[in-house]
Amino acid sequence: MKFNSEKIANGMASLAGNRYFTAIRDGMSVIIPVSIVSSFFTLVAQLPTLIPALKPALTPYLADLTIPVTFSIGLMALFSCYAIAASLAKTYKLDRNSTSTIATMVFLLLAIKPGTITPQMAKTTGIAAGTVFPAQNFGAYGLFTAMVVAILSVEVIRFFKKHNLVIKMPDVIPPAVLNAFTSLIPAAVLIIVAWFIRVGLNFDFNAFLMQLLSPLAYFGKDNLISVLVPIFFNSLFWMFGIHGAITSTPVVPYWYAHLNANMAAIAHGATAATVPHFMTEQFLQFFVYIGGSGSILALCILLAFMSKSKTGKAMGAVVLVPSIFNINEPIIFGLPIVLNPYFAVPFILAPMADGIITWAATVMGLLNKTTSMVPWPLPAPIGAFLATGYDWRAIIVTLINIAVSALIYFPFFKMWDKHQVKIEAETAAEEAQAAKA
Amino acid sequence: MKILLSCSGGMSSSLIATGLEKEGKKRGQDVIVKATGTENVADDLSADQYDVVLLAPQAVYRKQAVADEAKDHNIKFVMIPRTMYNPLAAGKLLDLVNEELKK
Repeated sequence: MKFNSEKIANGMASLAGNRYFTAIRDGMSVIIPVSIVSSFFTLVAQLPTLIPALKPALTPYLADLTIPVTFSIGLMALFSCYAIAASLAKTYKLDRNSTSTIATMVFLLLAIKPGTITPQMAKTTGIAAGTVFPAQNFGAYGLFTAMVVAILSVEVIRFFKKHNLVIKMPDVIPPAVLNAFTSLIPAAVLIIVAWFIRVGLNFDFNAFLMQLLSPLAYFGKDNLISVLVPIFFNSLFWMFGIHGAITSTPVVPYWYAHLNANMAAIAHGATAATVPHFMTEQFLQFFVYIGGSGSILALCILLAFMSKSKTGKAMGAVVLVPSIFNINEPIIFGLPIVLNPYFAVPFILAPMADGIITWAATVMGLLNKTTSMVPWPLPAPIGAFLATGYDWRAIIVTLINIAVSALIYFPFFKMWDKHQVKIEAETAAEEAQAAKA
Repeated sequence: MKILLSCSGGMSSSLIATGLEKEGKKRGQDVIVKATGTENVADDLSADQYDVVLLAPQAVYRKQAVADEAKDHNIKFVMIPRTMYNPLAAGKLLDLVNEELKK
């Protein structure tokens, strides 16, 4: 059987390029800025780890400091539903605002069950009488429903528009008003159906979906498999030159649920050492994908400082700085890593080794867990230090991981470099020959 | 020449953009490059007038969508070959863009 890399790459590209996957990824990215900013409040809550004298002053404010977290990661399903629907609506050229609003309402109908606080209850709970919404499904626990609902709602609206099942209005009506009316029939259908499922049938769609996807949860749990499987697929996709992050889309909700639980624990006085979960996106970002996917900073360092070939030296000079800030495309396509037999093995093995080391350090209690979401372009030791609530051991672990990755890359780098030196010598000889003739 | 250069998030493309602009300066060619993420291509094209849209190889899964956007705005679309997506290959990439624009 002939190995057809182009065909495989195209197959992977179409998988990654699936309209829904892309809409989910783009949509979920809207919560990144608000989550990062809110995480700084958790970092403040953990300042006593760094400066113990601050503890008495900060302790009374722990719960207040997590309020922004509640309204960012805690509401991520709500934000994501709106944004995923908007992304998808954009690809179909539907009106983004009305489509997203309808999708969000359908999500609320299916995932959130309002409760009532009676005046008697108000006295005991201290919450004002009236309607209340339980918070849990607004966050990571409602994320799957948000994804499914966003996609289904947009598809239904598109179906109605395509078959012209819309209320016609004269052209003189302003477009914004017109859009509201075009969506009226599909909105009615979606809302009535969602209401009937939730209230008429008393069917808990969110719980059903969680149950249905529970096998997937295995890869989102706090175990070694959930560390290694995403790394493997991420590296594999990059090997073919396709952005690997997309492969994690199905387990990302679990990582967020973990981070959210950790942040909530901090609010109740836990420390980054005692919070429940280690498996988060931050764990992979700062301990495994050091310098970008493939733990590639190690190779950039080797190129910059140990190359004998001209190509290696020139490449090292260009890729080192971007890689310190976790941007790996210059080396992935420059060296290249893509479809390069020299680097296929270490590109997969090095990040996996880092994953195992960090996992081991965490389960042995030598390393704090991640409790804040910090911006991904931060250099790994700094990012790891902040994400773990100022754990200096995180810096040591990232440095160990860089060293281990360098060891894994080294023999392959040597072979490649030797090969480059040979090519360069041959080219030089040919040119000299040509110059003589 | 005004180029819109899109990668997945707009980070790595900003490195390539700087490379292209430098290469243009070296040749005395007026090259302006804006780096962007794939989800913003449509908005960027509507907001400003470009001569060509380039797409980074790791975002190949967005090829059809970005090519369609370019077509809607009646401008050229170029998929960057894998070997040209690094700051050292800016010269080759600019050659390719110039050639495509002549077609």
